[in-house]
Amino acid sequence: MATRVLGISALAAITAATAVALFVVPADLNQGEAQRIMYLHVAAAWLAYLSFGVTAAASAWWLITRGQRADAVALAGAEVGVLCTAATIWAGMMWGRPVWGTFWQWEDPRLTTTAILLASYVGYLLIRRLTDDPVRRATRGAVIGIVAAINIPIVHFSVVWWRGLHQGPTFVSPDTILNPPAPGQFVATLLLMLGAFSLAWLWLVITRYRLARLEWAAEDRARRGRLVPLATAPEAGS
Amino acid sequence: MSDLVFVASAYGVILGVVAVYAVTLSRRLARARSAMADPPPGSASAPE
Repeated sequence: MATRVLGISALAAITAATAVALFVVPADLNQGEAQRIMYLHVAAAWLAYLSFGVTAAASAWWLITRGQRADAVALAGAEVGVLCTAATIWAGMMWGRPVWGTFWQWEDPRLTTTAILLASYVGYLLIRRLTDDPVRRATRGAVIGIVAAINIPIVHFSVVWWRGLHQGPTFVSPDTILNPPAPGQFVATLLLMLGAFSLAWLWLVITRYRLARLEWAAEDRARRGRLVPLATAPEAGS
Repeated sequence: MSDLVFVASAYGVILGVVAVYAVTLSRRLARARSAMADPPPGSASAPE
């Protein structure tokens, strides 16, 4: 019931945030209408970081405890994180075309490291499909989930460490968070979009987590179902 | 106006993909729940 309320709230919040982003706040003086994509782009990027952070933490939790819950959380984080990263890249490309004059530039460190981040977690999901053994699958996933998370700070600080097409961080320190170099209504719309997508993120992660637990239980049951007939089968020649 | 349509279509693609993913997850969860509610295979034909 609570999850259903969360889902409905997320849907309402995303509808409201999208309406505000598209039709209520004014367009940026320099970037024009394209700047409206930033609300979605930045929110998706932050949630992608959060998703992969959750996956890394849950992966470490799996390696320590070997608990099914840890693996289910790790999988949920990775799958939702892939969705968020793909949304980040798509929104960035749609913003880049009118503002930069190009959809993509491989020389840009932020773009390239983000593409690597996406590829590494798509790889995480693919490698999980290589074995039917749930323990081996979770362990392989956990190792990749932790190693791939090394890229998160590299993606985030790539605009500080290297020069590229992507602009520097707008909110880089507590000072700029409290006194942002952007109009208040832009920041408020960004926070509204972040809040709305955070609700959706939470719903997606909870739902995927529950599905993963059920899938694991179904696998257990199927394995037991296969073992019972073998154990009770009459011996050859008897 | 055409710029705003471009931006709205960019939003539409992302929101559409998220919606499809959410609906797919809900359906898979419902299927998994109903499959787990069914008796396991072979349980109905247990040895007498």
